[in-house]
Order: sequence, then C-alpha cells, then structure tokens
Amino acid sequence: MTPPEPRRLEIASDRDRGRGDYAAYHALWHLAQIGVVADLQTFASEAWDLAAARIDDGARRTRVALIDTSVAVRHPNLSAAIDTDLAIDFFSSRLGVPASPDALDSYIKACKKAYPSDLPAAVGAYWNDLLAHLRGDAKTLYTSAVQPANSPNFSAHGTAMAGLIGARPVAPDASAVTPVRIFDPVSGTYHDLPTGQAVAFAYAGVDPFCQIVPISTNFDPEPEQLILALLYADLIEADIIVLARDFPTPASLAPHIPRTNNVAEDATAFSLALGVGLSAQELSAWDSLQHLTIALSKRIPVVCAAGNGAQGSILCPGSLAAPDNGIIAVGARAATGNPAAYSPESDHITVYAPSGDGERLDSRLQRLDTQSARFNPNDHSIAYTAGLGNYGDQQASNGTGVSTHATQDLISTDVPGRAGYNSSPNAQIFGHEGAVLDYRSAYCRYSGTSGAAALTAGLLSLAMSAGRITPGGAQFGPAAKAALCGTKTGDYASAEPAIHWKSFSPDQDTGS
Amino acid sequence: MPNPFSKLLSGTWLLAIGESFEAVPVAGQTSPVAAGGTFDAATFVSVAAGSGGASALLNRNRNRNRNRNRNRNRNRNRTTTDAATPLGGETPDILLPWREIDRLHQLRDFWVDLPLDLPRSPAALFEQTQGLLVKQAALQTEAETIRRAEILREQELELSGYLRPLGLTQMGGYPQTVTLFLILARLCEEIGLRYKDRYDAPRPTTVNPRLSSFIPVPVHPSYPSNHAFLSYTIAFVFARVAPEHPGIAELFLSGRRIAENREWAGVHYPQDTAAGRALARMMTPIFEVVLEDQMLAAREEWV
Repeated sequence: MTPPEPRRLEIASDRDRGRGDYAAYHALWHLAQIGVVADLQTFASEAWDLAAARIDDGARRTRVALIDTSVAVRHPNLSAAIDTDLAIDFFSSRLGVPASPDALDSYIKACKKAYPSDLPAAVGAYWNDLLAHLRGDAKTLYTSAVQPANSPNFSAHGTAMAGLIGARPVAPDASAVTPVRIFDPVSGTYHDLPTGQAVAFAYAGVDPFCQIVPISTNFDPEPEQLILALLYADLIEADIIVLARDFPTPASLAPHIPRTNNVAEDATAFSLALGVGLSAQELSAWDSLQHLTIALSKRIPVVCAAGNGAQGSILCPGSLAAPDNGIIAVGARAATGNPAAYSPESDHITVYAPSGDGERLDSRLQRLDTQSARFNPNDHSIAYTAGLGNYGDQQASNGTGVSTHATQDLISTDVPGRAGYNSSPNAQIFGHEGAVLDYRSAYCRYSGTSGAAALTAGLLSLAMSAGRITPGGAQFGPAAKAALCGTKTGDYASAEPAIHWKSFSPDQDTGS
Repeated sequence: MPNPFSKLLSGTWLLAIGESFEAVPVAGQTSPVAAGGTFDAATFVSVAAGSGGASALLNRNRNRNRNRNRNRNRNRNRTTTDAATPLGGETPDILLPWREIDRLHQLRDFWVDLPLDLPRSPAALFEQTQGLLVKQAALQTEAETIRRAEILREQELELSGYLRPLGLTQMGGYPQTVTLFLILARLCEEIGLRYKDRYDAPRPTTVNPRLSSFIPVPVHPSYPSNHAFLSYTIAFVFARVAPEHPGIAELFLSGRRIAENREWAGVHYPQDTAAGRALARMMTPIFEVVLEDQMLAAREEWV
C-alpha cells in the first residue's frame, strides 16, 4: 500500500514541465550519419582504410587551410593534426605573424611559386607584399616584435572547427583515464577504484589523416586581412579552404544600398549608411576580395558556413556560390533530417551537413525543445497542450514532423580547462606525470552552420586523402562540388543534398 | 590496409550525457545504438553501472563544481575591480587595476617598442588639415547634428558606443564585460601617453591655425589618437573574448566612428586614427595574456 503523500502546496502544471531526460548519444553520431564509418560499434571505415594505405605509400597529406580564430594546437586530439610550421596569424599584423618563424622561413625560401595567372591582377600587389614580408622582412628586429594573437584560451571556435575536420584518436597507453584514488588514513595507503580502461580521448574528426593549417584573422570589417589570408592559403598550396566566418562587406552590412558603376559615389552612400568614412579605395578592396574568392575557388574548394540567423539569404562569401565556381554554402541539417531551426531558409544552399538544432516559435516554424526544464506547456499555449502543432495560429504553416526538436548537438574538441565552450574547475586537464584530471573539458557541444561547414570540409578532405578525387586541376573546385552534390540541387524543405561518403564511391554516377 | 583508428574508437565510447561527456569502455558488449546514433538511456544506465559507475558519479560532481567555480570567481572579482553599479548613464568606476598593471609591466619588452609608422612630415600634416577643414565646415550643418552631440559626449570616457553594438543598452547583467572595458581604458591611457610622448606630434590646430577645434584641444601630443587606440582595443579584445557575437562588425564600426569624430572635432589627423588602430591591433596579443582572467570572466557572460 502506497502511503499518502504529505501535504504540500503545488501548482499542477509544474508536473508537466520538461524533465531534461535526454537520451545519451555517441559523440561521433555524425560520422555514421554521413557514412564515414559503417556503424558506431566497429567504426569500420572504407574511407579511412583507403587513406591509411595511401599515407603508407607516401602520399602527401591533404592540406586544409582553416581561416578562422586561432586553434588550441596542443589539444591531445589535435597536436598531430595541426601544422604549426605553416600556421600564421593575421590578427595582430597586416602581413602576418608566423607561429614558427624559422620553419616558415625555410618553407618560403624553397617555394618558387609565382603569382598565379588565374587570380585578379588587382590583388597582385598584396601577393608581392606578403612574399617580401615572409622572405625576410618578417624576421627583422623591428617587425618581429609583434606577437601572434593565438592564446589557446581564446581559440574555442577554431579548436572546435579543427576537431570536426581532422582530430586524431589518441591511443590508450597515452591517455588512459586516471583512476579515482582514495586515501585510507588507517593503513596510510592509496587505493584506486577500477575504471575499466577507458580511453580518455576517443574522438576522431572526419579526416584524421589531413593536415590543418590555422590561418587566424581578426574581425575588423576591413578587406585586406582576408585578401592576404586567402593568398597565403594559395601560397602554401592548400587543397581546401574553410571559411566559417563571414565577410562583413559594406554591402552585407547595408544591403539596401544599390551598387552602381561609380565606386566613389557608392563609397559615399555606404559611408552615410554605416556612419563611418569609407573610402573608394577600401570599397574597391572589398570588391577585389570577392573576385579573388571566386577565382581561387575554381582551383581550391572554398567551404563556407551559410549563417545562423534563419534568414532568407546566405552570408557572404557563401552567397557567391555558383555552378561555375568552387564556393560551397553549407546549411545545417538536424539529426531528424529537417533543416536546423537556424539554417537559412534558402534554396541556394549548396549542401547540408549534420549539426545541432535550435528552437523557434514563429509563423514559419514552431519547434520547441519540450524536454527542456524551461519548457512548461501551460506557459506556452492552451492550443499546444491540446495537441495542436501550430499553437492555435491558423495562419501558421508547418509540415508533418517538422516540429520535432532534435536533441543531438555536434560534439567537438574544446579548449581544455577553464576556457572554451565547456568550462572546467581545473585550469589544466593534465596533472603531474600526465594524469588526466578532466578529459571532459576537452570536448564541447558545438553546432551552427560552422559545424556543418567543418564536416563538409572534412568529407572533401577525406575524399582527397582516400584518392577518390584529385586536387590540383584548374577546375577542381566546381568538380569537387559537383561530386559532393550529385544530381540533387538545393532544397530547403528536404535539407538536400545532404553530404555522404557514398557520393565519392567509384561507381557513383555524379550526374550528366 | 586497415586504418589505426577504428579499433581504438570501437574500444571506448565517448558519450554525450546531459551537459557533459563520459568515456565508457565497451568490452565486447553489443551496441545499443539505435538508428541515428541515439543511445537508449535505460540501456546505457545498465551498461555503465558495472564499469563507469565511479566516474559517472564524478561527472555529476563536475557539473556542480563548474557552477560553483563561476560564482566564486564573480565574488572574488567583486572585491577588487568589479564595476560599481552605474547611476543614470554615468560611467561606472573601478578600483585601480593594480594586478593587471603589474602583469602588463612584466611583459614590458613586448609592447614598449612596437613597429608603428613614424608620423608624417609637417608639410604632409598640413596637407591632411585640408580634409579636416572640409569636415569642420560640414560639422556645422543640419546633417551632422547627431555627430556634434556625440563629439561632446565622447570627450570623457563613455561606454555606450561600445556597449550598444553588443545589445547592452542597460549596463546591468554584464558586469565582467563592463569591467574589462574599464580596465582596458586605464591600460590604454598609459600605453598611449607613452607613444604620444615619443613622437611629440603637434595637434592639427597648431599646424594650421585656420582650423578651429570644436572642443578644447587636449594638452598631450597628437600621435597616436588615444580615442582610436581605446575604441579599437575594445573591439579587438572583444573579438578574442567572443568572436561568435553577431555584433562584432558593428562594434568595430561604432569604435571607428568614435575615432573619426575626433577628426571632425579638429583635434586629430587621419594618421593619428590609423596609428591608434594599428597600435590596438598589435597590442591584442599582450592584452589577451595580461587580462586572461578578466577576459575569461567576460566570456562566461556570453557563452
């Protein structure tokens, strides 16, 4: 017999609130979803087997230029993935501060690359400045005083991007979880609780064979650092460029200003709209940046995040994607297969990749996380409680199943310790003698179209590492993009085409 | 050829559970993974009980610790440099940031001699005052009413131009971000004065007496502009604190306008604005080390 509940005052609807009892899920669920691993049990991967064989035969590692914030390069899953010889920072200095001046110096001295003839003539001067700087000026007493802005504590975004693209699992002998140690004051000895030999850093990016070059930038809305970052990616012969950040062009900050053929008049109009003195020269440099991005993308795929505002338009440079260039605008697809709540409502998205979901309650989309402890159906709508998907608004349109909120986020590498997206009470995750104090703070939930762009870049990189597509051709960008998309064209409602390893299988009909 | 990674991953599951993560040894169990990669919670609990039980307990502790840790940091900072509650739009005040000043001076060699361009020759400066004369005339027109008010307001340290782009129209709720900006103001003043003293450049009104400034001319030299230096420093440092913030471009534009307003007021040349911006850019690597704790505290308000 159940004893009667003791008397207490209650609000009945509090019992209906979300309980937050989310199912646990594997941090690498996205790898199975995009077909890189066969399942989350064996982690068998045809692609990784192919790439391992090619690396064993001496193939060059696929070089991924990550134009983003700096990266926590000593993260256990990333230290083997990041090329610190070629890493460079354009945050603190116009022509860049190398992470390893001597290593980059010898690379540049051996490099005989001339200004590529397929790039716009207007940016040739930047190329010359950059080369002169890297060939010696950067090491003069005067300029070498400038430090790179690359503290790992402020590198969360780039660290999560790098992890999704190319993190390496770390072998157990290097990173077994430290057992919990209990001191027994009677005997004066320590006892270890059994841990079952878990590997602390069992995480992998899409292409754990690639080589990532962090090219960090600041967010000052000026075009020069982005021109120089792109030219640098070409100089070091990157096979793919990842641009999760946007280009804050005058036209994207003030979209209502029409462009004419007169740069000086346009600069005046933008100056009025933006409240600052924008020069014609600056506006021309913004135009050059866009021309450069398009020209470069014909040889090197440029993978861009489409934006997280659920807007009707795509962020620049993803907005420049066209069939004859290699710019790829990536939207986010929730684990349910629906477009993520924040993904742009545009049919001009090139491809969709897995990412976390969001919440929305508006006339276009009604999707709330009903498991969240914040959710109380009584606060939201009587119509909702009665089971009406449209919350009682007869004008609101919603397809079947679209309301379901996906609970899986992408999981990626995080700055270990206090900093990053996932904080920790430990300033360091390693104690004395390499003991792992807090491996959990080395990972984070990470979503947005940035995460989707990282997965797309990782998959393209893997296709190169596995030998299924070969970089270097004058039209490699559009060709790689076509292989990725197959025969499908962008469709918001179905979140297609979705990226998948099978797009690169040898018998795949890529459409004709 | 078998790759080295599949076997490793199949031996340990890294699971996302609630707010945190758990590395669980697999030891030959069959996978409870449903389609789409979701674990059934009930299945997982029974798997974890034997092997990961102790560490699952630690995991819960960890989340509690995290919250406690945040609160502790807030309390600790409040006793030293936390911004006092602002009254009616006034700029809040902080205690002297002695620890940050000390840290700055421990890195002295990295910032006392940064490669700033030399100021222009007197003839070139006279040339730059021609543009200032045009702005001086335009400032008196109806179209620039708002700018005149801004210039008067921005004579003293005034944070609204930096807080509005971040969506902070009331200062409450983001004390660590406000405190960070106030500490930067203190440090930038010191660094800026050092560089101004080195170049000892004349103000535009000295070079061209036809120019009459809209506000009193400050007593210190012209190059570089401290308004530009501080405005861009706040923007560059915040771009390290929270690069994900959608208001970053607007924060830079607002700072740029504050800097350019000093040209409109006739107290700075364009070269001073450019030098302040360049100095702010080169100083960011120093600030992110000197102000690490305060920047992380500010970041925790946003992430």
